Amino acid sequence: MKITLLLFASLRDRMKTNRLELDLPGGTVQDVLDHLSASYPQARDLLPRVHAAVNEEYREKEAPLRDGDVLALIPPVSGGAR
Amino acid sequence: MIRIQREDYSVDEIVKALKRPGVGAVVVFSGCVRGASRDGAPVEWVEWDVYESMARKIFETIHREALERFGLLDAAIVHRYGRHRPGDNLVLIVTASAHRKEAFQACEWIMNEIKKKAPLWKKEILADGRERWIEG
Repeated sequence: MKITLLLFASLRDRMKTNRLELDLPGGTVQDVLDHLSASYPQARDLLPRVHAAVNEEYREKEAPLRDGDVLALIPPVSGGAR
Repeated sequence: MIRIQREDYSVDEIVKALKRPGVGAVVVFSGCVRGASRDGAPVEWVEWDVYESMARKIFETIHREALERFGLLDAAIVHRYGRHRPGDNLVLIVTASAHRKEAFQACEWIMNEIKKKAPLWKKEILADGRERWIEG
């Protein structure tokens, strides 16, 4: 299963890239997060706090992924008074 | 009107674009770059990152819902990304309706929805050289 991973903000800085192409045996959003946590220890503390969007729609961590999906990892967004 | 852009915008032009027969109230929320961080540290720059295609979809949904929910005649959502200085324009919400109440309520509702849902991130670059991503 090939998926495209998009990274933003703090996660992009930590992982030194804004985009990765992953080839995985299948699974869920959480499986990708576990894979990244093992491969990118510098991002390990951020990964449990990200939200996920699959093909531009927010999805739960249990959501299954399919070949060709675009998975965006959304670090906590900037709220506050602005 | 939905715009996600690096460059500055003219508030007057956007307000003008929303006016039409039937509009009796226009409410403008203009958000700008704050020159002080939450802990009071002086901010030199801010850098806004956006997942543009998804943010556009979310803005479109919020825009459509606002028109339905508050009976607006039109609305504008404009957000900038990139590096900007304190005082620079950052986000503009304009609501147009027949009477003021709906326009006031809708303007605040739209801004709250954006803060809850839109994939936008702010990094502060402080005067002392430190950089940090701000979480809501």
